[in-house]
Amino acid sequence: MSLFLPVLLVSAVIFLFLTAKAKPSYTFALAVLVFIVSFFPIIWGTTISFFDFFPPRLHFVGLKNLSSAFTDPGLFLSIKITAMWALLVLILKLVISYTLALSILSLKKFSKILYMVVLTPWAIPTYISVIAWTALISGYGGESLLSSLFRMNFDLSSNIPAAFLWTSFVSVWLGVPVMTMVILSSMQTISPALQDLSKMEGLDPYEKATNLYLPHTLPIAFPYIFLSFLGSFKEFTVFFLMTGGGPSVISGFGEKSIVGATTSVGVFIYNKFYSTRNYGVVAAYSVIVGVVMLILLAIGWNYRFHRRKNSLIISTIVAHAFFDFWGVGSGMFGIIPILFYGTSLILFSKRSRSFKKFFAIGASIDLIHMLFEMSKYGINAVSLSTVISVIVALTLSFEGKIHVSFLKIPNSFWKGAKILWLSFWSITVLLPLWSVLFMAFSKENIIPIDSFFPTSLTLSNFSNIFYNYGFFNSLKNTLIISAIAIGTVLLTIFPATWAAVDSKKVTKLGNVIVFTSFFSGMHTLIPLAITFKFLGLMNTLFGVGIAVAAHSAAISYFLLYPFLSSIPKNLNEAAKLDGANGFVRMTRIYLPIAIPSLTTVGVFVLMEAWNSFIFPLIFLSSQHLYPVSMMLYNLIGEYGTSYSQWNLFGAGAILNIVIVGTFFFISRKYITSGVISKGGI
Amino acid sequence: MKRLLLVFSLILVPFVFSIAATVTVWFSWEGQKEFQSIVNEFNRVHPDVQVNLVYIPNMIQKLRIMLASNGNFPDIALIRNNDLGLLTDANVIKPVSGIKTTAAFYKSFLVNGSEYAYPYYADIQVVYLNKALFKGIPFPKNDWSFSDFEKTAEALKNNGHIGLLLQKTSPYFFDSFNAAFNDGIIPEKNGIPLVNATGTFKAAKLYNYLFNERKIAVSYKKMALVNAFKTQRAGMFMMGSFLIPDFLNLNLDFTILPYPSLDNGNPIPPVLDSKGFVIFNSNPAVKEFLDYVTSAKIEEKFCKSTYKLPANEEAMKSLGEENTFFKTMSLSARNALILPRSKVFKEAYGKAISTALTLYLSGEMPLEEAFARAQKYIIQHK
Repeated sequence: MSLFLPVLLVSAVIFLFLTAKAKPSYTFALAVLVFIVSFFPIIWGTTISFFDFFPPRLHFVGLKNLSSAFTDPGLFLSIKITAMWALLVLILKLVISYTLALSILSLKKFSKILYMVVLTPWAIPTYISVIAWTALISGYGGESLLSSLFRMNFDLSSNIPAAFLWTSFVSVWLGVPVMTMVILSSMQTISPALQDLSKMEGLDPYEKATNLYLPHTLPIAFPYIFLSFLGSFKEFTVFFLMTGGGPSVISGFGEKSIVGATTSVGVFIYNKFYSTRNYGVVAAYSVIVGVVMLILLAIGWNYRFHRRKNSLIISTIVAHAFFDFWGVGSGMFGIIPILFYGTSLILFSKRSRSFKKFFAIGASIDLIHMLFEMSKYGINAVSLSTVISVIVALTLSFEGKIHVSFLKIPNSFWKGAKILWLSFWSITVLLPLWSVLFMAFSKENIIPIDSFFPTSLTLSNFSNIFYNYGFFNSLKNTLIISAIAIGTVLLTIFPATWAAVDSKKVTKLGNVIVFTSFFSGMHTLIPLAITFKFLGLMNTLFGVGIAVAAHSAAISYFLLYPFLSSIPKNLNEAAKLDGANGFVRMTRIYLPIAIPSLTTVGVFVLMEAWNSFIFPLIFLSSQHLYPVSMMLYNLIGEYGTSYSQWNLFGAGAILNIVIVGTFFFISRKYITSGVISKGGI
Repeated sequence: MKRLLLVFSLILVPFVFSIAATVTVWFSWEGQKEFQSIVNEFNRVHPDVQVNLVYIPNMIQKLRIMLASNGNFPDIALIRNNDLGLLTDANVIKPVSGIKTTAAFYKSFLVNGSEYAYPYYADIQVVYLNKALFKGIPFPKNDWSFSDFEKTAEALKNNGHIGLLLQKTSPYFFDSFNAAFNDGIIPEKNGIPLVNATGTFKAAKLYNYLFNERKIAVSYKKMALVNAFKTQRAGMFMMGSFLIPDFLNLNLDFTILPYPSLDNGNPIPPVLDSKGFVIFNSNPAVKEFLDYVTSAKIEEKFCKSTYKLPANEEAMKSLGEENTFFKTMSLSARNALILPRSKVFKEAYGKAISTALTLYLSGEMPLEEAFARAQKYIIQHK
């Protein structure tokens, strides 16, 4: 481990170089946080990929590990599967969220209640809802209440389409609340004059959605939408708990790696961690995945520049070519769509509006080729470059186009459809809740569920949780972690974001936050643990709290920056003329105005802290420090192999949901009002 | 000045002696409450040692994280015997000596001629039978053959129930069938498990016969499997003995039998799922605690309430005649399969076997190709 200190020093220099000129008095705290929790672990992880690393022994091997990871067909397949899955999740999430947002917006009664129902999955910790859904879907070898409804078997361990689609659905279910919130908030930025005009023109709901809401909200919400796509790319929990990466596929049974139909890159890295003790190899795979994330992030980043489509097209072409060459794209065939994208770029530079058409033609060729190949070679023929191009083409095609509905559908149909859709989604939201309630009140440790009520009801699971499993102590620890995380975020993010608004030089720090947020994940946790051990933060609630805070930094920055930017500059200028220094301007002018937005940030961080499971699992080794998430995990044990206490888990989960739900209910006003500004997320 | 130092030292002495040595113990699997009460009792009667018990939901996951991050290990951890190779390979645990236990338990924690754990208890695989569903069906005996097993499953199926429940892609269960066709062991060459050979093929074909040809066996995920038995959908299922206490609490009308023998007389050896305490920091307090918990009386107390097979011979003798369940468990343990402790077995074998079985039993890949690929994967990860 003699390498640790030199790497620490070098990464500190790189970090200072990247964030130089940032106003240190306002950004120092955030910079330290980001450096310790995100930046340094990435540099350390990258460094050890050049070594065979059996802690504490290190042996330099140059590019051996990286080259082995770069040529692993298993990694190619996993990236392709993840790309396809993330695209499906994105499309479903967008369609569901947009339709829900439109339905809620047009309601005259019950809109607030229904909005809260839509937001409910957000208040349920992920590991609880995923387990509840798994029990509902897979039942007995795929025979469940849901399978009888659909009249097909949902065995997630052998049925490839079922595994792929249900994991997508559950991920969508988890993501719809925040996406709906973002879309709904962005819809509120549309001027009333435009809304009135659409009424006068007599637009039907379809025309309104495609001509008014989509064109106005998509550019505002798009950065979040793309980040959500990248988030899906890093998904781990849903796969881990629902399918474990399976079912097996022939092409995934390789010498280096075994990849199943739902082995996302997150699961792939996790499996690597379990199949070797040479952490240099694991780090090499992580670096390659990080580079893919970085390329995707570069494309997403270019969406910020609404008028500079050339950056977007160039980054798409470069990514396309790289993925084609590497083996996760369309191969040599990729040259054809790239020619169209190149033409599109030239046309754009000549200010011709037909550039979109050429891009769309290229993407269509890409898509048709991929579907044709998939019909022959299955999931192995998925092309990451095609997936990216299709997303870009779809968004470009929506801009500046008038959509006319040829079918004149009566209003009563739209009303009926709206009621049906909202009712259906409400039932979908409540289904896993019912499943957890069933477990909680059941005397027997019984799962899956095959009746509406448990055969024997009891309240003893709740008293058991309190008296025998130290629920109060766990609750206290969760509250401490949440308080540390919220406090750290607010004290570090607010001054730094204000400094970024006040001086453009500081935005570099924001870029670094975004970069580290998407480069880090499962693969940077071990370097983080090494760093925490060095700093004496292992086995402390403070360590868990600041780790959560650092991982919430990106979303907090995204929430806060546009809001602070939208505050009129003349206020700041006037205060400057009156001789107010930076600190006074920040605390007296910006802080009071930003309180709703800061509350939203606080709620986001609270949710992150409350649901946080991986950090306590890795950093805590004392029972008296376990938060609620770990206490509940103890009841399940080694999922799939241990004998889990589902009824106690259900009782703990219900208590957890009630507490989080109460926080959520109290802060609902701030959540809905402070989420978005005209500048976009 | 000297006098002052002397007085100061005299004042300090009682404080120094009153500080108890702390032992941190990581514990996992069933019996959390029972073990906590043993620890509380130990702390009460041994004021010189303070044991800090931490329940770890997934022990191997936690140990791997500690290995990777060069983290702080506890003084003692309870581990499964086939996780041993990982820890001996990393050179983080100490060998132990003077262990008194049965030959099977001793062998379970033996690596390169050294014993690496205080064996504590074992779960043993058995066949659970739903007695209420055996109306009109001859009840099998302890020494049943595979034909009896098959006939029973068939009869249960004909009565409208599931004949046999078994997780078909789990290496944990396949290992027993694999060993049955390989002279009672998992075949290895130079420490690498061999899966591309006739014995393993025969075991896989037997699975195919049960699940796809005769269709008398059904595979569910674990939680569904247990529940199907509880709710009397299934007549028999193969699982570890750790479920007995829960079924007894529910007043289920059930019993257990040892695994049957193949028709040629070769036993299908159940896996002896042994757990033992490994030592990361050796000191007198650690030894004092381990001697206490592995003593006959204390081990018997723990194993009696959790239905585990004790590693302590005296406790085993005493519990072996306790009731039918312990009798059957002891009987099963006589033919038990002790899994290899090598790193490659833990890190590659299970994943490879599970994938090969999934692809073969679903008809997607021929038998030989599936296991040839499994072998290549295992060799690559040696």
